Amino acid sequence: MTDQSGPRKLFRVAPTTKHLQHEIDDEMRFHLQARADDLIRQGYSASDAERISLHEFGDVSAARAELASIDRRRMSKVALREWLSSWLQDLRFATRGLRARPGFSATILLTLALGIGANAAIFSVVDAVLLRPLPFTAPDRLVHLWETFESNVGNRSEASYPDYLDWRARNKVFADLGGYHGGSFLVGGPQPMTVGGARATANFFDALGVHALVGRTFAPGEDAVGAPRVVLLSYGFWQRQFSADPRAIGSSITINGGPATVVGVLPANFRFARQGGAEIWVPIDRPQRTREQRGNHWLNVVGRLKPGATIESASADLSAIMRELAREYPQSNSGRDGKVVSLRDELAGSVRPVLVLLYGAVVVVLLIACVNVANLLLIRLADRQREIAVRVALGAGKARLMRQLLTESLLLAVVGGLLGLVLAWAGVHWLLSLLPEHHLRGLPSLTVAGIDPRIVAYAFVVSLVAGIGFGLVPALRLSGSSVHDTLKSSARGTIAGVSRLRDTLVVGEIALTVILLSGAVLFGRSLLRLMAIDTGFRPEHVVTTSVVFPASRYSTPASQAAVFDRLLDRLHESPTTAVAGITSKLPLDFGNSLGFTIAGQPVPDPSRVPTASYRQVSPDYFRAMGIPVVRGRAFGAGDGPTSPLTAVINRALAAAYFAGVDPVGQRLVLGADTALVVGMVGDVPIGNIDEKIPPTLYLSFARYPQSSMALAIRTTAGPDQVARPLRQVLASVDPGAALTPIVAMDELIGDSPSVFMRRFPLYLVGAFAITALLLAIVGIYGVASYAVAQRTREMGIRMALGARPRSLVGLVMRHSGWMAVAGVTLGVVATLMLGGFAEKLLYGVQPSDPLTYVVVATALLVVALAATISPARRATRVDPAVALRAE
Amino acid sequence: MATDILQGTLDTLVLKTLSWGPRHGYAVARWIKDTSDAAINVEDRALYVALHRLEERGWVESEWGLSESNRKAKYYHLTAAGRHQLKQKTADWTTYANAVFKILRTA
Repeated sequence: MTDQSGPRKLFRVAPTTKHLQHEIDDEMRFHLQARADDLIRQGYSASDAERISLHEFGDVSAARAELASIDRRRMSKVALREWLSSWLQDLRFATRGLRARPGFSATILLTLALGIGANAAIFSVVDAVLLRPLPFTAPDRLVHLWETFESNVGNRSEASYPDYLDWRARNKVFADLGGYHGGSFLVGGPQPMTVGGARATANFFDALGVHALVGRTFAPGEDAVGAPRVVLLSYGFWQRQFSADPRAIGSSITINGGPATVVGVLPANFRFARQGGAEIWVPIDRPQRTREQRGNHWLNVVGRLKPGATIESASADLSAIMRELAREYPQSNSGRDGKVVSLRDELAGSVRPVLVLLYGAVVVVLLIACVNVANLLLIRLADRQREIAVRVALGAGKARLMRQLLTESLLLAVVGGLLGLVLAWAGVHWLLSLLPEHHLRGLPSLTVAGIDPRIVAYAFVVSLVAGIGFGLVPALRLSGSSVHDTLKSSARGTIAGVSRLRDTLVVGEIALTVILLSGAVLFGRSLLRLMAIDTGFRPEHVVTTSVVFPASRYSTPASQAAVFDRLLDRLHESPTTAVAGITSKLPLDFGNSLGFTIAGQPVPDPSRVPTASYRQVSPDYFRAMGIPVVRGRAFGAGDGPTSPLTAVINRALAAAYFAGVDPVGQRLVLGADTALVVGMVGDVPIGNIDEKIPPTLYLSFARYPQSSMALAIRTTAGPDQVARPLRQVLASVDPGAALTPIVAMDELIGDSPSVFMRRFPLYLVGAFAITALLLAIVGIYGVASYAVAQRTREMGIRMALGARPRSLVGLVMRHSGWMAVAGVTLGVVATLMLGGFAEKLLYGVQPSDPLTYVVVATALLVVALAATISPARRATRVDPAVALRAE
Repeated sequence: MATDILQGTLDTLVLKTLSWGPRHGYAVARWIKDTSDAAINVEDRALYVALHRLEERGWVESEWGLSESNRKAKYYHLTAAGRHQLKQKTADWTTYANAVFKILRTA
């Protein structure tokens, strides 16, 4: 068959689907007609030829449908390819544009890097602590159980062992319940050291669903009285002390003076926040007598819900069991109830409000950054009029131009986001390094905060959202303007309405800055109020630590009292020591309470027995801490083990139970003993410094010694100089003893949760507020300069007509002033509306406190006007002749 | 042989047909029938499906033109990628056919 002569091209293949169908029909029609023609040439009649041709083809409609779907697929592929290539073109153009103006691009990138980076950093912390699932099996089925009791100071307490056993036996909602409590241990060796640890029931790890990395967890029965002593190591401890040697399993280490066999190593990601610093885990080992005391509460309980159970149903079940126990054991359990909380809330709950607040603050910073970038892009848009007009003339549609602008914005956002991630990585490390040691231990989830794929994904999403956000501003501005205007307008960019849009953006910026500044000021004032609280003692120059003597060597009260006496005597000989004292728990360390009754008064109903926090102290303790002895005396040599039992109470106890009478000489009934009150001291915080101080009872250490006690030294030197002499003295008393890190009392107060949780956010919010303020200044300055530049002609005319420079300055300043007033008003309203969220975090200041707003408003007005001075002065230097000629 | 001719083989035949220059669908059908001495009679629907699929793959391109009888017709021509495919598939088919032949010829 000969070659067809070159077909005449009529038109290219049409792009729309209706056309597609028509084309297919045309093609089929041609085929059928061509076949019919051939048949006619062979001699068939026209109608026969048509019929045969149709018959030969087969199912035409099926063919049409099949061809249509093939063609539709092809068209969408083609469309996609075209779209991609034009978008790549946009991207190349955008990159070139950015590189052509390095200063401009750098400013935007830096602003975005700060905004997105700060966001990613805070989010990584939020994610690690609040969002990521806990490293246990099915962690949302895990709960923490508490007993509650009205007259208890914290309104919730640990469980007693008999109660725990009854909970396990009688409940219908828990698959398993396990118990734990904290402790620190003296680990023996060439260099004895104190190690944070915890004790747990044998089934604790099974209940959590945690399997040992090497070896095994506890076996049933290993928590029984007298069972052979075993120990589980944390991954970090195993790495540090045993160099991750698997032969550690089966070896023996000395704990508190006695041997214990290592049976397993916990996984690297295991973290149980309430005992976050626990490096070793041992089974509970309280003596049988303690395990039978229903009134002695020392065990924390966790549990796993059965499938189908909820926290509410579990709480109800627990309350029902507690009611039964109250009936069966009124002496110990009357008036007690139980409650169930999710384990996640328990481990992170106290931090959640602060983290949410910080996250809110950082979002505000990002918004401000975006506003600034939008403003900068608007300036640039005005300068690009010529370029835009040319592109329009060459046939670019509005949509295409808008897409171009958006592409540029997205490019800036993504690159800024990448830079931000780098900043965030550094930022998170720096943030974590600021946290005091024990906070990291209390929130071990923090250690996973860092830049990992989740955070990268988050930063990417934030970048995209931000890019679209600030990119829409110039894009919409462009779509709103008519093309003719852009072609006509004068050289100095004057796209209509841009200046008003920029002003609005700056007003928004100022409002957001007000929010951050108000937050910072409120936190600052909270902190000042908090620090101004009279703690009731004199913490300056006091240094603290805990001294741990090996329990196996000092198991009798006599030996314990004697060794501490020796230690205190030797310390008093040291020149750096002014006064030294010991106590069972330092101030701001919550715990240890007991019930008591007043001798001579009717015994109250068991559900309303008064409770007091108790501490055992040495005679010089009050002097060492600077706690004033208000009435009577402190303990002395006469309050030893053989003398009558004496007690010292605090003001709160006296006010509650001995109002109007002299407390000295009264008697308190503590269990089987009666104590004579010999003195009254000032109130000292037992928990956080902003909590109500509970009734406190001090007992003589000589009567109730322990093998480890907290030591307080009022010193003439600083904590670093005290460390070595202290260790030497301790070694001379017993080389097998160890110290916990030595911390100044001031530092303990500053790092205590209530203070720290206000100090730390203050630093961050303060930093954010300063950043916001700087960005706002830049924004105001830019807008004022732009306004002046725009109105040069107008200024020139005014001056030519006799206006004085001063009135022009006034013009510019008034413009800024109005923006500032509008912004401040908006910001104050917004802060008042949001204030409710922060209420819990503040102290002594209300979110609606007027002084704060007055300060912030004044500051911003001053700043706004100051930022305007320079552009305003420029206005006065306009030469009318030049201005009138300029075009 | 009639209708159960493999789709892949049909693609190759169509590509070969177009290697001599642009043709419309009907011409391709006629040419295959004539050149194979009527041994291969491709169902029309299958042929057009093949042509459209080849276009989707980018091995042929189409444009509208006027036929010898002055009617509007859709002409297909090979792209560079199509030419390459033809070479490839011819080689493959030849190897395959030779192998089959070798086995069949052993009595």
